[in-house]
Parts: sequence; C-alpha cells; structure tokens
Amino acid sequence: MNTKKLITRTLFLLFLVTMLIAILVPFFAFLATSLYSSSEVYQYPRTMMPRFTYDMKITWEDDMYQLSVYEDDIEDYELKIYTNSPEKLRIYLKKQYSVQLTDEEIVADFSKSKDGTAVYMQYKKDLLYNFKTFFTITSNADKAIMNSIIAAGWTILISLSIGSMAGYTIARYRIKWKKQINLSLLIVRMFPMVAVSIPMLVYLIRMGLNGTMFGLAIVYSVGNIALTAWITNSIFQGISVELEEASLVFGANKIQTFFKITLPLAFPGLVACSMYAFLAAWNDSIVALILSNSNPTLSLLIYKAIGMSGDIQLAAAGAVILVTPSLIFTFIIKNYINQLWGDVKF
Amino acid sequence: MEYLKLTNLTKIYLKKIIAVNNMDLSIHKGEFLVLLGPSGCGKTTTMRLIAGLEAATEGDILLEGKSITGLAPKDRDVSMIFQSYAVWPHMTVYQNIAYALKLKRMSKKDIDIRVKETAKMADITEYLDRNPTNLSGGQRQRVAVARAMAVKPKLFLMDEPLSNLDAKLRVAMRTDLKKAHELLGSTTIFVTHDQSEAMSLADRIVVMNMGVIEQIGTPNEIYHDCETMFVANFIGAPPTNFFDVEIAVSNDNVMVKHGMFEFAVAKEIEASLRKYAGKIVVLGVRPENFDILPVGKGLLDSKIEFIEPQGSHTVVVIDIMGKHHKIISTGTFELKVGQEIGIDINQNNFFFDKESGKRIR
Repeated sequence: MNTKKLITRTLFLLFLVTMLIAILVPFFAFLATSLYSSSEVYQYPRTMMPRFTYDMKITWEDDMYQLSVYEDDIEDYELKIYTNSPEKLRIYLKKQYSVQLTDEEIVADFSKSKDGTAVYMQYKKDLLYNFKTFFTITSNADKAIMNSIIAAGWTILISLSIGSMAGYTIARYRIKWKKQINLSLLIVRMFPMVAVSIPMLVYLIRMGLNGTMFGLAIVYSVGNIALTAWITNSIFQGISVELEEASLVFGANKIQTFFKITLPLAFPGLVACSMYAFLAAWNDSIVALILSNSNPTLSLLIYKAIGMSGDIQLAAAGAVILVTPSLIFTFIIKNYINQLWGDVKF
Repeated sequence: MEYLKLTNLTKIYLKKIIAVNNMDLSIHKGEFLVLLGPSGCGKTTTMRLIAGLEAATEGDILLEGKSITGLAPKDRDVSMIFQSYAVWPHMTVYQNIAYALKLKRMSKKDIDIRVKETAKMADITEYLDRNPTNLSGGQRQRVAVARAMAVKPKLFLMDEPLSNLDAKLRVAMRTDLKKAHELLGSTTIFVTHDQSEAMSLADRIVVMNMGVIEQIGTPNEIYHDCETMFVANFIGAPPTNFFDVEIAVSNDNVMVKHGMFEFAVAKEIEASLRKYAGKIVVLGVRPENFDILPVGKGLLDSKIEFIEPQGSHTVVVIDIMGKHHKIISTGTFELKVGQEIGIDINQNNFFFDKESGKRIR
C-alpha cells in the first residue's frame, strides 16, 4: 500500500518535471538566443548562459590595433582583428559582440596601447542589441505590431460577440437538435485554417478586404466563434437561471436583465474566453501569409525573418517580442481561467 | 372579496406534459396560502405562472379584478423569494435590495430610507455593505426576504425558500416569515413539499397532485377531514393506514368486514355507506386512531414488528395480513418487538371510494 503510493507519487513528480522541462527548455533556449551576440551564436559548443561582458586586450603592433578577446574554452586571449581604423573596430565590436561604442571612446581607450603596453578592457554587452536591430532591419516592425494588435482585437470582438450570443442561446433556450448543434460547433474547428483561408481569400478580394486586418480577423473568427460558443455555453449554464428570473420579477426587462445580471456574472468567464481568440490571432502566421502578405502581422514578420536571414538571434528576439504580450495577457486573466468551465462563484 | 383569482389555469409543456390542469383558485387579501404537494405536482409551475415566468397555455389570472395573464413579470407587482435565494453575487446586499427600487425610478433618498427600513426588519443592517458571497445561507435568505419586502408588492411568492437551510435554521426562519407576514399584512403564496412547514405557516393549504387541486382547507381540515385518499396518504407522518374492507348491511347495522376484523360504523356515515353494500371500500385510519390493548381485548390481535421511539410518542409497526402498518402509541407501558398485542380502531376514520379515491361522506 505504502510502496504503491510512493511509486505513484514518484511517477507523478517525474511526469511533472518532464512537462516542466519540455516547456521551459525551449523557452529558455530562445530567450538566451535572443540575448546572444553574433560571436556567441557561431561558437561551438554553445554556452548555456549568454555572456554579459567581454574581456579584451588591445596591443599596438605594426601601426595597427591588435584586438584579442578572452575565450573561456582556451582560457586565453585570442587575436580577432587587426586594423588601424577606429570605425572598422566599432563596427566589428557591434556586429560580433553587441558592444556599442562610439569612435571617440574607441580612440580614447585604445590609444593608450600606443606606448607599447597592452591595454586590458572590459566592455559591457548591449543586451537589447538584437531587439533594437530587429526593429531597424525589418523596416515595418512597429506597423506589424500594430497590425497584430488590431487583428487580435477584431478577432476578440467578432468571436466574442457572435459566439457568446450563440452560447447564451444554447444554454438558455429550448431548441430542437440542441445537442447536435452543440456538437457541430466543434466540427467547424476540425477544418484546418489554411483550407478555410484560401477560398476566403477570394471572398475577401471581392469584398475589398484582402490585406486588411478586419478581413484577417474574419477568417480567424471562423474557428473561434464556434469555440467561444462552446465555452460560453458552459459559462452561462453555470449562472443560475433563478438569478435572471429574480431580476425579471423585480422590475427589469430581458435586456436590462442581460446587461445588469447575466453579463457582469459572465464577464470573468468571457475575459478568459477572449484569451483563445487573442492567441489564435496573435500566433498565426500561415493564414496571414495567404491573406495579408503585403501588410504583415508580427508573427508573419518573424516567420519571414527566420526563413530569410541567417541571424538566428534576431529571429529569437522577434519571438520574444511575440510571446511577451501573450504571456502578459494570460497573466492578467489567470484568475478568471477557472471560470471557463462555468465555475461561477457565489 | 377575492384578491387573486385563478380561473381554468392550464400549463402544458412541450404539447404533452400537463403541469397544471384546469386550476381554479381564489385567494383573499392578507392570506397566507401554501401550495403543498409532492415534487412534480405542478405547485411550482402554478407559482411561476402567477409570477409571469411561464406563459399560461390557457386560463386567466386576475389580481384585484384585473387580468395580469399577458403581462411581463415586471409589470405584475409581485415579488418572489427563490429556492436558491437568487441573491445577486456581484452586488452588495444594499445594491441587491435597492435594485428593484432603482428600476422603479425612486429617488436616491427614498431608496436609502426604504433599504435601511427593510434591512432593519430583516435584521441584516450590519451586512448592508457586504457581498452576499461572504454571507451564510440563513443570512442570504434574509437578504432575499428583505429584497422582496422592499418593493411592497401586491403579492409575495415564495418558492420553497426554506428547503436549502439546515433543520434548526429552517424552523427559526419559519417563525420569522410568519411574523413578517403578520407585520406587513401581505398576501403570500408559499410553495413547499414539507407538510410540517405548510401546517405551521398556512392560513389555508392547497394540496396538489398531478397538476390538480386535491383539497383546499385550513391545516386542521386538511389533516382531520381529508377529501381524497391522496391527501390522507400525503399528509401526516406516518401516513394514514389503508384497509380494503367490505361493507355488509345487516338489519340496522352497517358493518365493515376485513379478513382480521369487523365492526359497526358510526351512525353519521351509515346512510352513505349503505349504497356500497357488498362492495369493497377503502378504510383509512390515522396512526393515532388505534388503541393498543392487551391481547384478546381489542378488535384484532397482532404482533409488533418494529418499534421507532420518537420521544413524545412511539411509532409501532404491526403486521396485519402480511402488510406493515404504522400506529402511534402515546401510552407509557412497555412494548417489545415480537410482543403480541390487541389493537382497537376508534371511530375517527375515513372511508374512500376504491375507484375514484374520493371520500365517502
């Protein structure tokens, strides 16, 4: 009995740890990658933790600055570049080591070596270098962020307004084929979004909505309306009908009752429900590629950045930018998530 | 004069389930009327029809002579206390009570006065700023009562309001409800399946079964003067004992004959029972209308199967021709399981027609 309990406990903990590792390791990997400098990315074997500072040695030989960097694996300084142009040094330091210095600083620091002694310097890495670069090399990154926010906003609005109405109807009214309708909602989710988006492109072009975020949101809403209806159904079922009836008896009409009683009670659940709509719109890149290639969303931009440039640290920076709002959003609504399953507290 | 009048009221669900069937009922002003019946008898449906939460299939509801059948619930001037209290959890107690008053467009000052006044009556003044989520069942119940009182309705509807409370609180709340009723002089319809609740609260009780009214009467009438077999069986714990008996008319005497016993009926009932000569009728005897005597002294002899002591009295289960019957003994003498006793049946009993279940008078 006791051994059995011990074994189940151990297995459960093992499972939990495995899950945690499976989630955290990739997350940590691209978070670390986004902080790497270019030299770290191409280092083999790669370090786990990104470096924050570089120890450098500058000597003056043959009328040229000789720049060496301390490497942990050989435990010594390794010669990297020799040049007499401070500008070249500045660009090299920035590109390879994410160290941001001005020409004047370089001359001031490096010229001390001209008397023949070696100068040892420690330079701080600019940790946000990749993020800054991501915005400068992808010229429309800020517009893409805006696009993503707008698309997600419309998706939440469309799928929540239509979906919750459907959910309310299924929960409250006696209708024929109720079970079948409820089940068929999920069938909509079985179609891959890509399959839906190609014919939708034709319709969006006809309506003049292709390349707009509203058009994109319509396509995202297709699957989400069904999911929202499914979830809100259980939310509304969790709200006792007597609460609404009491409102009716005490002088409210049906519309007042909905806005004063039902909606406030369902609100936390609806907020949690909007998470799904948000994530669907925010994370998608394939549908955006088909429908709105010329006016990309953030995730599409990152998708392209990964595909085209070899700078993996830039793509990682983009991914961090992409995932942060999702995390913040989920964190804000974390208290409401339990109410997704109709757990309205009294 | 009738205050509330239901005529021919019928409710049919899904075109086949008859919840309320051709109900006629009138209620006087200031009356405390209890709708009593087993679950599914249509008592709650009747109340919901009066409140306007269900639409009547047929029939009319008149309040003070005016038809309210087609009106929306908010225009009926009734208030309701629900089984689950239905106190809105996202509002404070104050807001709960003020809700209906706000919708009536009363001024803020008047609302404040009214809320405080009713809160004092319901004894919840110190909870006014609290959220109902932090209140106990009994306190929530008081909020529901205060909310219903605040609107000063023409009619109070209570749908099993005490059934979610624990036994002790239930009895206390019962008294409070009755007190509030007397204080306000309000007209109240109270739905319950608990007969002791019905008995203690009601001016009149309406016993319902299968959507039909079985009997209307004061608690005493309902208990001591049952109209039908259903009422005799439903009211009273333990319920009335039934015996299939044959009526034998010989000379001047009308005799009741059962396999185990026979006796002459009381003079008042003789005439009506004469018509049933040679036929089988149902004899109903309340458990307390048996007398326990030493063996051989009574109408019949039996053996005690079980004993259920209740303190003030003892429920004795006896076996008469293979059927268990519960009788009440208030005597103090010692009874033991398996003991042989003599049973006497006194004349306070009912006769029912076997087919219709109606009382023979």
